[in-house]
Amino acid sequence: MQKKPPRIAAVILSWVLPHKDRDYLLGDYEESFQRKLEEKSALLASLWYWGQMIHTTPKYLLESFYWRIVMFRISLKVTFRNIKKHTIHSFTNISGLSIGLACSLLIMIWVQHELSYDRFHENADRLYRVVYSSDDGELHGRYLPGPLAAYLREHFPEFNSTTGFRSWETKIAFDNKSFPSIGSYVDPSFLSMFSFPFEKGEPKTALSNPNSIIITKNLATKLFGRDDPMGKTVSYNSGASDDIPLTVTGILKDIPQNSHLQFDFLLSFEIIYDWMKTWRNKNVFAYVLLEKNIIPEEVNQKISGVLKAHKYDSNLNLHLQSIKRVHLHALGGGGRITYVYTFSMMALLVLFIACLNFINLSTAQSEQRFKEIGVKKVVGSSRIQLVMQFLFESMILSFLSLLLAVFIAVFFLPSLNTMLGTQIVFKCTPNLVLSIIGIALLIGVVSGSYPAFVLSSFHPVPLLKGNVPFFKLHHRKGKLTEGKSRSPLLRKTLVIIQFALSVGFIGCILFINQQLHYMRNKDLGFDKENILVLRATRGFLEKASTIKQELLNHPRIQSIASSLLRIDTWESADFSSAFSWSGKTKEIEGLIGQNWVDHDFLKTLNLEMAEGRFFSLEFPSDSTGAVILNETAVRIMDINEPLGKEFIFVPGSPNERKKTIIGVIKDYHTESLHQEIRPMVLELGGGRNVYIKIQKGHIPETLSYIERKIKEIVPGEPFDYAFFDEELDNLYKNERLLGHLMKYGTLLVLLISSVGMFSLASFSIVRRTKEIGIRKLLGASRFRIMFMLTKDLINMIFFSIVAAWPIVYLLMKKWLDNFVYRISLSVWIFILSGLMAIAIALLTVSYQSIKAATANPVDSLRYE
Amino acid sequence: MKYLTRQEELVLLSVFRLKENAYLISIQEHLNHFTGKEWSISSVYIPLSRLEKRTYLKTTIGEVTEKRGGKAIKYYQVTKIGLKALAELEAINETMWRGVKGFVEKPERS
Repeated sequence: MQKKPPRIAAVILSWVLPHKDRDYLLGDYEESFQRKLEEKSALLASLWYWGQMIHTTPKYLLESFYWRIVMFRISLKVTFRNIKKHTIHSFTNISGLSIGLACSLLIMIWVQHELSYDRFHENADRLYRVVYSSDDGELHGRYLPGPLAAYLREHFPEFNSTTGFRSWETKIAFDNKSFPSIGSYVDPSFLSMFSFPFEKGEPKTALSNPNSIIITKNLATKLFGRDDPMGKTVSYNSGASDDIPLTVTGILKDIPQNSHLQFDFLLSFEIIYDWMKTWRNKNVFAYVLLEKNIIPEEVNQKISGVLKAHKYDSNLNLHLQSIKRVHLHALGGGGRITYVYTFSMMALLVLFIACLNFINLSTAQSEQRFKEIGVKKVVGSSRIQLVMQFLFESMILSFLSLLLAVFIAVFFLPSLNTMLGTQIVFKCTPNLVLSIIGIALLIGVVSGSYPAFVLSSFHPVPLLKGNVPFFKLHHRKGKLTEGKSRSPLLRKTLVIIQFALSVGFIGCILFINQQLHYMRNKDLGFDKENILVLRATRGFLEKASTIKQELLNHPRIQSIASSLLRIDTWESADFSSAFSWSGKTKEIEGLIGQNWVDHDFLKTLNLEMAEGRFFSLEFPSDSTGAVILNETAVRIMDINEPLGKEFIFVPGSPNERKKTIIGVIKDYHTESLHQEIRPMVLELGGGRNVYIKIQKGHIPETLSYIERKIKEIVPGEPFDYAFFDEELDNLYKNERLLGHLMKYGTLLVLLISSVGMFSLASFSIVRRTKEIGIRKLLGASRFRIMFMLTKDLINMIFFSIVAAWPIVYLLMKKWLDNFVYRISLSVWIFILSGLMAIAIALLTVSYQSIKAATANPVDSLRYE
Repeated sequence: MKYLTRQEELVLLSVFRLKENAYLISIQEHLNHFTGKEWSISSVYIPLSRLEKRTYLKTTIGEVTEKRGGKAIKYYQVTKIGLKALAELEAINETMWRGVKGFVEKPERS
């Protein structure tokens, strides 16, 4: 049998050889091969063949590339001529696509930023945060007892190292300069676990002395200017004791923005407050670094009972949370990740709509090129060549839009940053570049394929006849059939999908806005206007009574109150306790939230009593023996006459306390409207949350008075204030963000689809110019013609609305389920969204249809 | 006239000299023999195909043989345009080389 050249090499060779001479060349190679066989061994001949294949491949490819470039230049020329010829349509086409692309590009950048959180640590795969959840899975938390980290390190070999972490807003001073900054107490191992890069200093030893401090570059510049801070002594005041002198042993580069741990300086955990060092309090984060090849689930089982073992009065189980999930995943599900999903989805939708638009418009445009196609076919252009030409054109358009999109994205990135409160910079990572080029290619191919494959398949003769209306061209099994006068199904479907999405977006944004409005205006049970909130520092609290006295002297300041815990968020979670009361008839599941408030609390926040009285100065015993319940608490306890009954905290424990119920306060919202009002018990006290009620309309001048007075009484303390209503608004930051982005999304979608509709309408009206002229001649009224022109559109919109409603319903129902207090999904909004869509569509096409309907039939009939 | 590259020129000359028997392998051998260098198939083919595009060469499809793996053979022939180009080339070469001949040492043939 005759020897054959190696098969694989032959196959590869046959791929790269120029198409037209492939067979002859293969023959030539084989002939040479056979000669080599005669002269030398079979092995050498095969090797030669392989060598030839490898050696020549690039040459042939280059050669074919040479001709491609020639073709490329021709195609480019044709493409630009087409763009020039249909300036407006090319413009709408490109701008629509580039807006969509820019929008998704921005969202992509944002998503990339969000996903990059905490991944820069070398050990990110093995770093975990210890968190807890309750037995019933209801309660989740991340604050843990101070000694836990050390305990885990000593008792479990699975942990390579562990560290406590607690951030505290404090003051750090050098040379009479001081800045409020955030310091974090950490164990020395912190520096080896996390990869925060050092500017100066030795990470291994920097924190081994408890009197060391490591500061970030930013703080170093603020404190020391240009001097070298290393070895200098700064004074640190935690508020619990006198100033502590600390030696600077290291300088960190500024903390990357995509780190969930943010701090200005690091301190030794040993000098943390004593009360944080006990198992009784939960105030500290614990981070662990697992040994290599340890499965976290197994560790979870081992450590879950640690808190219970320390007789901590709870039902809490420990488990590990990967550091890579901390930023995005809230404990117990949800978190920012839902927004990452939502916005990725939105980016996809916008991109999808933009693509649909692009496809539609390219198709419509290419239909005007029947003659070109016909001529090309007649002169012998193969179908492949036509397909390539169309694909090439759409590719060029999509790349042009991409270019534009990048500019738009770079331009709008700062505003996105402001909106999201981020500082994302546009970085051209290879991933990003590759993916956007990929997207552009994909869009080019997908949107070019309809005109490419369908139009190139038509028979040239009717195309050349020129005035064959497109509606009658239906290509079936290679034959030309005459169909009914209707626009192609594909295009109709695309328009319907596009409009359904628009209706969907409108519906969603209407509901979201309504819910946001509802949340902002809901009566929370207390006043929130004209109230200033201060977070008192320790120095402030020491002089609290003086400050209060001084401030109340101002005629515009109506009253001042304080509470230990914020009343608008569930800070009480860590202060809830088990409870009982005299005459208890049924067992109560769950805990009651506590807060400590002062005498003026009721008056300042305009709360109301349901029964009994509030704390009063006339009853000195209030400060030790009295409590006030809220209505929810009374309802849960199911007591008839609560007044005068005994209320018992933590019954049966050594901490048991008995107090008398002196009143019932009307329910007020104890946290955001996501949650139900919780049972609360108030005791007399007060604390760092200070509420100052200012007379309406006199805020600016009063504010400066307050600032001046406070600076006078407690100089050096930071004066941080907020307006209560704004602070309450912040509870719905994520929802507002969603509303914001949805608003822009809706605008974009509407813009893109209106541009598309406008273009399509002008195409179809141009096509029907003669028909309109004849109809007018035969006596059709203007109205009739406009109706005729928009009838199709209205039909399609109707379909889209029907398709969109159920989706909006399901989506919004799911979203609203997040809120205990929420709006109902009213029919009116659905109808409104539909009407808005119709109105927008009609507005878009009205210009052209009116123009067409009022045109003089003489002109339109002369049109050619 | 667009100038030919050196390779194209040599290939064109080979085709001309080989008369009826000019196909890729024979041209390759011819070139190997006269230039003393190893020409690979691709380095012969690429000039050939460019010359063909310029219509300096025409082709005829020949027989199918066993030793070519059942593939047909493609013979090349110089067209009239090609001949004209050759003539021009010769003229240019002649002019350019006039007066230089003999001054340049000829390399040893290997």
